[in-house]
Amino acid sequence: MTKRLLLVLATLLIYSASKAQDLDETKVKLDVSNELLTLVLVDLELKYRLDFEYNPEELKGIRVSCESRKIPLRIALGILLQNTGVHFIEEEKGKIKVYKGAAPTKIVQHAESQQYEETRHRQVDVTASGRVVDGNTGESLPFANISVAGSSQGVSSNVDGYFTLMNIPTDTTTLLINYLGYATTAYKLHPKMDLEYLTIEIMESNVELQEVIVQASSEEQILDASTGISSIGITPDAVSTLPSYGEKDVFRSLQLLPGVSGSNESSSGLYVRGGTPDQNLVLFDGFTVYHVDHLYGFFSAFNAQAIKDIQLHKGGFEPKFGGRISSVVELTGKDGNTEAFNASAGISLLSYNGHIESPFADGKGSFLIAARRSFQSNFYQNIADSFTGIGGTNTNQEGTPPGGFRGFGQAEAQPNSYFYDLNAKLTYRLSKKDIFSLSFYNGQDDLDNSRNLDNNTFGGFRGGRGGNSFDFQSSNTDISDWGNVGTSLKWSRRWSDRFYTNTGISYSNYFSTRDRRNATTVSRADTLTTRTTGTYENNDLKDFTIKIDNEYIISNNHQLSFGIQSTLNEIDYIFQQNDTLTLLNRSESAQTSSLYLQDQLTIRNQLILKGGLRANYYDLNKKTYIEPRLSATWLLSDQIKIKGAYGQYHQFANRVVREDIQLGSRDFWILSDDETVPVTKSNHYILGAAYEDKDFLVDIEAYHKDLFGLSEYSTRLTPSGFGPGRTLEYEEFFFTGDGVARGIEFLLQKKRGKFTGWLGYTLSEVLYDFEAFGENPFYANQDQTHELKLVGSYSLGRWDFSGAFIYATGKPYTAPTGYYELPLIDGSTESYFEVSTKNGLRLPDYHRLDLSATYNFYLGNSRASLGMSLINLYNRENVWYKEYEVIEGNLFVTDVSLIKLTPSLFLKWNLR
Amino acid sequence: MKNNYSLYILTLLALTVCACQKDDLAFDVSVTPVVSGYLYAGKPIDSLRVVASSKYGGDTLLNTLDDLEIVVSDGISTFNLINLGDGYYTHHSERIEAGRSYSLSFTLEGETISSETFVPEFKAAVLTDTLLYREQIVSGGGFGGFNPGEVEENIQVTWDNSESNYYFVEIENIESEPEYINTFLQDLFQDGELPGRPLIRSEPQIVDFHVIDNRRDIQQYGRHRVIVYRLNAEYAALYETIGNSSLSIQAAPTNIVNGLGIFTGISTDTLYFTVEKQ
Repeated sequence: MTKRLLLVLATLLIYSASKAQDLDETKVKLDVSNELLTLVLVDLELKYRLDFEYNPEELKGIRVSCESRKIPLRIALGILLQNTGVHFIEEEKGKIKVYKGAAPTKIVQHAESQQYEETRHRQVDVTASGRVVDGNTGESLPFANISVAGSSQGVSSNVDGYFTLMNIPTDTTTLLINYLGYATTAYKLHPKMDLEYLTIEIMESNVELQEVIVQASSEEQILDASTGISSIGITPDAVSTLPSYGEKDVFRSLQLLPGVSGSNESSSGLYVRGGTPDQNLVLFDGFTVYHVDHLYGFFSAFNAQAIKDIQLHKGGFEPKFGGRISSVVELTGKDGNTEAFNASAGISLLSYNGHIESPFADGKGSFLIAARRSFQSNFYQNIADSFTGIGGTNTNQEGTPPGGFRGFGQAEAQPNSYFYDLNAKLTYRLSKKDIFSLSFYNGQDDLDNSRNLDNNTFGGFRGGRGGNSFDFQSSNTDISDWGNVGTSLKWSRRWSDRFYTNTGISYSNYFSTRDRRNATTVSRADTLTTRTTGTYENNDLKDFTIKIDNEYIISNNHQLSFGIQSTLNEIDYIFQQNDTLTLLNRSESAQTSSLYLQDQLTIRNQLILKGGLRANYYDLNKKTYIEPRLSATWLLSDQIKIKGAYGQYHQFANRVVREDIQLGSRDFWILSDDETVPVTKSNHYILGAAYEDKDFLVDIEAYHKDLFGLSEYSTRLTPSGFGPGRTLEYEEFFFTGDGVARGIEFLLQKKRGKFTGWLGYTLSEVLYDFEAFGENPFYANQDQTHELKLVGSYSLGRWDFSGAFIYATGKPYTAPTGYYELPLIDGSTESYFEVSTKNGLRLPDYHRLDLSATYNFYLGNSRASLGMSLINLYNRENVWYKEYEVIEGNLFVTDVSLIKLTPSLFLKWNLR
Repeated sequence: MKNNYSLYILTLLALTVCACQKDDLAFDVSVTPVVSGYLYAGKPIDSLRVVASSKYGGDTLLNTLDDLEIVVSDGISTFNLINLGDGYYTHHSERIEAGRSYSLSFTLEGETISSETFVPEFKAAVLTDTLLYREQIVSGGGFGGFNPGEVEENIQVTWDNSESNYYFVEIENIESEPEYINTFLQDLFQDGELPGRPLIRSEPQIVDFHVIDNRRDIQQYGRHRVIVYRLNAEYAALYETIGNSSLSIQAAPTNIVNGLGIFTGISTDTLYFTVEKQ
């Protein structure tokens, strides 16, 4: 090694004497994969007659990868040394110093200044701003990282893809752009460019690149966990290779991340760090989505085809977000292709889907429409039946005599259920400064298990004594509908390269109806009598929101964001029995008005401090809630950072779940009144560290959350009053208490190469303390001590293979401790349970392995893929819940499990 | 070596204690009394019963609770129930009076178990018809089909429920050997293929009428008894569907303080109608 270095040094002397090269004039071609940096530098020196000055001991063991065709040396080195902690400066023409450690700003500036003197036409200390877009579709790319090559100076694009980067050394500096699922690209500035309105096109990793963009590396990873504190970015396109029930499901993919529970087969909702799905704010293009489940939670309600970016904030989130105490999922819909018409279609065993998108008005505008609908396949029916417990297609009417007396009025019914969703978005860029977009979403599930019965079925029962003829008709309604409608109109205005405003008005409606009534109509010659029995429930939530979000960039190191938001919630809930009796009838409305401010300060490019405050005024109790939020990231080096966050959060609308196994859980939203239903509050404390290089990310975070004002809800028929007027009233019970959620999350991610994936592990506990349930705290329903996730993806030619393994401690549950029987007045006997300590026992551990294979191919010029997934490969029977039954004095327990080994197929076609 | 054994035993004990802790959460060794007490207006207390609930993992046999000093009071007089054995208690010298409140109390393992209820007064029920004609169905086999001929209008039983109380209706043929309208059913019951004979019951509801469906509810000729029960809310609550899964399980409703079960007042009215061959 020493001999080789001596040889190198000797060679260097010879070559440096012979010719001095300029960083921008010299063009080099790189093709190295995981090579020692010192050897690469030697190789460059020999090939291109360069003179590098470095300390071999300092660069010992550093490996680099880079593929490029001939590009300027400055760019090549920027790419090569990215994320290595190694920097370079041109000390004098042709002599390049390569050194390790944080780049002293003044040295870089000094070095660059020398260049400026030599090239007087160049500008120094420039500001560049513009948009990052997909080179193929023109789709703006939110939350992309834009940095100055060879330095740690960088910013992120905003939700509309806009960025402003100040204090760029020269107008010929190279910018590096990183975005999940896209090739890391270098963009070289040019003095003739309009630096105020740049449009930087970047390409997906598998697409050829254009002139000014140079492929640096392929970022094949599915998630980006390096964006901030407790935040993870994910793109729907990147998750397409993961195992699924046919179509890629973004919420199911989020459940594979550490800190998000992955063992809730009956809910697409996210249990984040011990929080429940209703404590998770789901924003789609700015409007709140209150229900995210299709098909009893088996499938999430969002069509991945219509989404371009997902950001999950697991805790400690910024003051921009409010109204939830656990986490935030921010979904950004696709604007539509601004370059050309595009379409896609797909089919799986569960549903079919399609989308179209097109530019209009010469690319100033674009639209996208995406839709999908389930169909009645065996696959669909098997899933539906496993939830409803129907187990077949026939349903017997209650009280049918043994053997089934068709003649006594039994009817057969084929349960009919389906789901659909529709996304539409229209975007118009009025000028370089103004964008208008209108987004619409509607998703719905319907279940119809109704039956009709009339006398004609049984041979025409007409007549009656004495000519008093009558008709008899009985109709049994059994319909459940639930879903969302949401729309938002947004105006984005870029006042200057420093000031950006997003103004939006939105409407969101969640509805859930359950009609289980039996109407009997008897029509006689002169009268018509109708009697209705059964129950009817309807919950209707409306959300009208207006908000203005502003970003003001004072300097690269100092940014302000501030805004206002006002939300009016109207919630109606009615629960009726028979046709006259209203058991519950809630009608509430409340307005929450909020104001927030956040100041972000970066000190010496090493310490990023964010301090903010959100103030909410809740008009139902006329109180103001102040929420301080703080976070800090300390960059110890280019690879290592330490991070921490603190925040207070309040929640004013809560979802109440009424478990019903037969027809899926019925849930409805209620507003806190600060009396029976308290305003929920949480305090987040987060501390973590991360190491990241080109290939790996290691991230560890510990969190502690104090929870106050939690509610558990139940309804019960309760006798009220005393004496002859005593009645049985349907009463609501709100049990309130506090809780704590704490845990440690660990993530090891392999980001590059043919094999990518991650290992996620979470150690956690969630304890609730409710006075009504005893003196001691108890484990919450969603508590899981250990959760391990292994996710891997491997590319081989046209094939993509992936697998996901989940292991989790069983969830706590409540069991009967005993039973008793009571004789009823009609002589029959009914059994009742005596119940244990709440959540005193645990279900068996949960684990499952899913595998998938996808074949990508071309149909003419269009792309297609065919995939197969095997869910629960080794057919583990994970217990969902236990069912109890007393038969002849013995308690029988049945374990009910959900997903057995389930194969699925999909075929997808894309025009472009 | 002795020390090693001690350490081993201590460790084993500690592990045993740890291992048991989880199960202790579900295993309950205390005695919970279950009362079933129905006070019928105009009748004495003849079958109030107290048993202990059966514990999961424990003895599955019914544990009756005898020798309790159960005191019942109507606010005017107080009397002790007499233990008949097998958990049954009675008091034949006092008749329950409608319109009065009754309380019950006794002590078990140092804890007072109590309850109170009201015995509702009954307002007379009325049948829209007391005689009904049905043509006999002579079936060649199988269940399908009704007599295509004329069918009587349904009988209704009505009562005044202006106070919105709960009612429950029971209809039973009281003939010793009733004849079936459908001869095929007659054969099945005689052969013992179907058990017993039909007893039609409703569930407690706030209603003021009940329709006796001629085709569904009446399957035999002869005299039928209709009992209309006026019930208290605590009894109606027993019919509420309570989850039987670990996702939704909760304790059953009871009006017994420090115990389980029911102590409730009931009043009834009895009516009759007859079904004859057409």
